[in-house]
Amino acid sequence: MAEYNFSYASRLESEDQMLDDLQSVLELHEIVGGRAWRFSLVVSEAFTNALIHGNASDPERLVSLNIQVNESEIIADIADEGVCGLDRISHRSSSDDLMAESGRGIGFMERYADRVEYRESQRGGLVVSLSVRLTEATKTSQF
Amino acid sequence: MEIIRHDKGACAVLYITGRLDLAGGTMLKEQVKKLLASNNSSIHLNLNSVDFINSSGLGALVSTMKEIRLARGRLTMSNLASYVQEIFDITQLSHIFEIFKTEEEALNSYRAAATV
Repeated sequence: MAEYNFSYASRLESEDQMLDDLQSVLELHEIVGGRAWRFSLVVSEAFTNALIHGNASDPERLVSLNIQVNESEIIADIADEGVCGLDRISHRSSSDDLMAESGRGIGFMERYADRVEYRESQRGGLVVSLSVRLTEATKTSQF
Repeated sequence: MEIIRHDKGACAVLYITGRLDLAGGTMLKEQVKKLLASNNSSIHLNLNSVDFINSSGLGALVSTMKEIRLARGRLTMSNLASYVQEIFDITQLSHIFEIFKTEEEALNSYRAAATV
C-alpha cells in the first residue's frame, strides 16, 4: 500500500494546488479516465467543504489530505480544523432549488464515490473518508 | 484557469481553459461583472478546454447567469466535454442553461434572435 500526506492553508487557491498534487498521485499509480475524474471530483468537494465550512476560510487553519492506494481501491481522508464536525453534516441544509449557487457537493460525493464515511477528529474537526474502487465495477456513470 | 475574450458580433465569447473550480469560478464571476459594467450582456462561454468542473464551478455559473438575467442579457454555452455534460444533466442544470453543441450554433441563435 502507498500512502501520501498533504496539508493546505484554507485559501481559495489551495484547491488548485491540491488538485495538482492529486493528479500527480493518480498518474504515479496509472489511475486514469473515469476513475481519476470521479476521485478528483469527490475529493475536491470534500476539500472545499473543509476549507469554507470547516475552517471558515481562515488561512491559519489547515485542511489535511491523506491518500492511500492499494490494489483494490484509492482512499482519501480529508480533515478540517473546525468544531462539531458531525453536527455540521447532520444539520446540513439541502435544497431542491435548481438555481441554488451551493449545496451540490455532498450529493456529488455520494453519487460518485463508492464509499463515503464521516467521523470526527480528536479535536472535533470533520474527517470525510472517500474511496473509489480500482478493480471492480463501480457506481453507475458513463465514466 | 484562463479566460480569453473574443467579441463576435454583439456577443462576447469567453474561451475558458483549465479547471472551473472555486478559484476559477471566482475569476469567471469577476470577468462577467466587468463585461456587464461595460454594457456587454450577450455572453457565450466556450467550455471546450474545461478539463474539470465541480459544484463550486457550477455555483459560479448559476451566479453568473443570475447576474446576466438581471441585466436583461443572455448567457449561452457550448462545446461541453462529455463529463461536464453529465454534471449538468444529473443536476438538471441542462434544463436551465442554454447549451449548444457548437459555438457556431450558439452564435447563429444570437443572429436569428436579432433579426426577429
